[in-house]
Amino acid sequence: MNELLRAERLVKEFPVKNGVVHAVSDVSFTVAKGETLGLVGESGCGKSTLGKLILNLITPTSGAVWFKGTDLSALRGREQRRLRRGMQMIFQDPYASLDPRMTVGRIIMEPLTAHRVGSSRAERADMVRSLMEQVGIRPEFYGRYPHQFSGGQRQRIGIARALALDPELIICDEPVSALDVSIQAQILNLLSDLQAARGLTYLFISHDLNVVRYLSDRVMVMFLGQICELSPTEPLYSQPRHPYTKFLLEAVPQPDPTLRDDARALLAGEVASAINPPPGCRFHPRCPCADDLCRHKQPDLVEMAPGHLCACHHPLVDREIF
Amino acid sequence: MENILSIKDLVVSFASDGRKDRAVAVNGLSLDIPRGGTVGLVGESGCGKSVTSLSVMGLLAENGRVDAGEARFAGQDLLKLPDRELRKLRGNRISMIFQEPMTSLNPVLTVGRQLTEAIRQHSDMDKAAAKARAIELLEHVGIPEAATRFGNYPHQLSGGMRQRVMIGMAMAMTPDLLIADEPTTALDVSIEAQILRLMKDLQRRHGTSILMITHNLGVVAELCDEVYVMYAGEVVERADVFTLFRDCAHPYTRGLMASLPRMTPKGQRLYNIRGTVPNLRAMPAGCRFAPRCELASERCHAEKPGLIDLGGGHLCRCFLRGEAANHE
Amino acid sequence: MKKTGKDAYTAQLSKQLLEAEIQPDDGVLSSVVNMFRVNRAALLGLILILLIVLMALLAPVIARYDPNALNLADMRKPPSPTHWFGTDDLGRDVFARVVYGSRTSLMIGFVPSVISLLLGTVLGLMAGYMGRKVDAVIMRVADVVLAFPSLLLAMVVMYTLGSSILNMFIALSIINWAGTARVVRAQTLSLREKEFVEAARSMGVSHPRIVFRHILPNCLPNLIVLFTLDIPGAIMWESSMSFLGVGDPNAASWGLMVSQGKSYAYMCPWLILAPGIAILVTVMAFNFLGDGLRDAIDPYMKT
Repeated sequence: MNELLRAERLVKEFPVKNGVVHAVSDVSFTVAKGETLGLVGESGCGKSTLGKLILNLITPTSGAVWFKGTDLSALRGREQRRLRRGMQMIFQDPYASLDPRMTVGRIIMEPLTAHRVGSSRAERADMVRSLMEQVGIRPEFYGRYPHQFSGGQRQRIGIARALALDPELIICDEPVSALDVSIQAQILNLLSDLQAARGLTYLFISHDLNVVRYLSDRVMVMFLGQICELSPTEPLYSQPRHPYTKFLLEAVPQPDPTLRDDARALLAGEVASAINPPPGCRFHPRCPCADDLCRHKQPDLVEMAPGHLCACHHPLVDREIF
Repeated sequence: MENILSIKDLVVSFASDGRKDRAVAVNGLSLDIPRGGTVGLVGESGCGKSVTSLSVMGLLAENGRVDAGEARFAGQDLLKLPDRELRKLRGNRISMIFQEPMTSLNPVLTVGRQLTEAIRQHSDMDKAAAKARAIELLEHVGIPEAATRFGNYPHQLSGGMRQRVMIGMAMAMTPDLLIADEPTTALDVSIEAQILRLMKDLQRRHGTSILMITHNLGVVAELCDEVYVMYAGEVVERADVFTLFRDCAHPYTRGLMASLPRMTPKGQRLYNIRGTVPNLRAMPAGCRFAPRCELASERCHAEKPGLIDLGGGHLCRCFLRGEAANHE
Repeated sequence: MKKTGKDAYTAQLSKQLLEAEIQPDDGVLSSVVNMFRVNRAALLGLILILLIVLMALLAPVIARYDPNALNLADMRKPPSPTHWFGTDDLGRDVFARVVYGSRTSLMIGFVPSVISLLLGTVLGLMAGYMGRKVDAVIMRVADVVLAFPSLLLAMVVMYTLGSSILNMFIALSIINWAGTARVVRAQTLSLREKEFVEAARSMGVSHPRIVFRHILPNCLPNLIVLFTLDIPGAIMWESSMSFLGVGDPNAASWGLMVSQGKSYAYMCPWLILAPGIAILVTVMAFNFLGDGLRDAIDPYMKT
């Protein structure tokens, strides 16, 4: 496996009025070149924070991010900027992520200008036009403003911007969750086409398990700032090991009325808060299998099958349903 | 079957500053909700599904106007009802829940107070009894520490809890009709599943009819008996939920279904509907879906199809009537 | 579907996806034009402002008399065909003085507004973007300025520095910058958290570039509104100060005319009515325009 990105014991804690938010707690994983790692979890599980930690948009409380074999935090100034060019981000909200007062051309050109790519403005403008074409926006719309475009078109513009510096890794933070179903499919297709054409690596953050399944080679499930399961995609969906993963999969309403099951088990309770999380396994207050061990000892991430990691004292062995 | 709500040929338009022409958001929509049934109204953003429910409830924004049509609820035309009467109906026999429940809860009153008021409006309970009933309802909708939460203000609750309070409130009122406009869109899947189950529970206990407005086909499959699919202000297909998911006829519905990543393995392209939704002020002359439809013929671009009955109440607005639409 | 390479892929895309339509442009400019079409008061304000500016520019053409020419034979004459607005206690033509006074009053409206706009914007951007200590220091100073009764503060400045038009500019700038700084800071704080700013940071765009390319342009519409509302404010302050006798006695502003005419208010009401109405019309014109602009720009800013 050709490793592109490695997160090493990343921790991010924010102090707040009544405690400390444990947004990301001791998270380690690697992403291989050319693969897509899906990152799922419910709101407040720290998945977006993790994305920003990797991009160094926020500094970790402890831990390190290694990109192409180099520890990003060990670099300063220009060196760090140069390495970080290889990592770009696509944002969730296509309305908020484009500056309303800049033309589309200038938006896509901005990373080029910031990193002094190309020898002249005209050369950069040509690069921008070619990028626009690659994401399916007519180059004639170079001088138009973002509000003239639909949500899906704006997301294409955001993708063109992320591609401008020819990155190797793109962190996609819920890139389709604000879009309509039919548009969502267009963007997902575009992302997988671009991956095939450019050999891109994706860290794909989403709460939508179906979307993650479609795009990912491996999937990582997070709960309250920790990894609870990390596995190649199909085994995770067909045989989840962590009770939380199982519940999540069961909860997704499937577009097939014949699969209705009013008796299936639902996850009780609220999405817990990352402020002062419970001791032991953080999932135990909502877990039907929790016992004393879970209440006191944090489970380690253990390899259950080749590449299939799970952090649970009582992992699901076969297809049992509780 | 008797209909609790029957909308006929509804037309709703909007004005915008400095323009003479009005944008028609809903164009001749008819929809029936059978008593005790759950009807889904599905479509993408801007298709007019929310405008439909808002105009029926008399909650359109100031620049909106109902131009034609009627909406019969228990023998009365809601569209012609004076504001006062409509308000009474809204608090009584029809409940609404929205995507953001904050907008329908009063921010300066505790949830307990709002709940007790709703209960007392519908029964002759005294204060203490109403409070006990309110706490019972909060527990029933799955709010932890209900007695404490009773004294909380809406902003102190999470989005999921607020939505549950809204459903608790609906339960207190035992409405004939519950209109739910994207009630789970802002929620996490585990909470979404809980809310959907509560809605089913409300229906089972009180025989409440539900109009479920959503863009999420999974939610539709989970909850609805009948489904209306809207596109660009019009119903393009209507069918019972099993027929729709097994054998939908309209190219748009087919496209929607096909573009869902279900079991699609990685690397295989998802089907996608090309292009974008037409502008409300520049609707195509023929079939409104024609510019995006792979099967569109010259006739589709020139002439507007009506709703055709394919049998068994399965309606479809397409010249191809579904038979020829086997493009998947 | 297998891709053979970037070229084949692009070719396929251009066939399939480049049909995308886009919405017509409804930018700030057209929403402002639209606003004038709907909001008649704002249009009236704009027209009046243009007329007043024209009056100031063409003062020698419009006024038939020298505003400072004494004519002791025609003291305190009521309005007549020869002296449209009558004459003052030194026999000067009030109409000519009102026309020439527009130069002083407009200058007093514009200059301190420009200074406080620049000062307030720079300080507001610094406070909002840099945060922490810089923010604390700037905002505490602003709080002190805002907590002090403005008129008193301005009068103290005038007393200390002396009554001249230059010092009047300084005094008015001092009382006005803090409000602008507050608005700009608040907007910077909210813009700083916007995804597009985060996007710029994630691409490695430098801080000055973020401030001047992303944050400032997005503050601009509000700054224009603020500016149009600052101008009448400055004119009002100057009038009040002149009335109270701390203005520049040599700058023939409308405020000074009212002040000088007040002793004859009952006998010769035109002496205060003429400049008073001029102030009223100007201030109202700017307020109408400012409110209209705010209405037009606010909804645009939200999207």
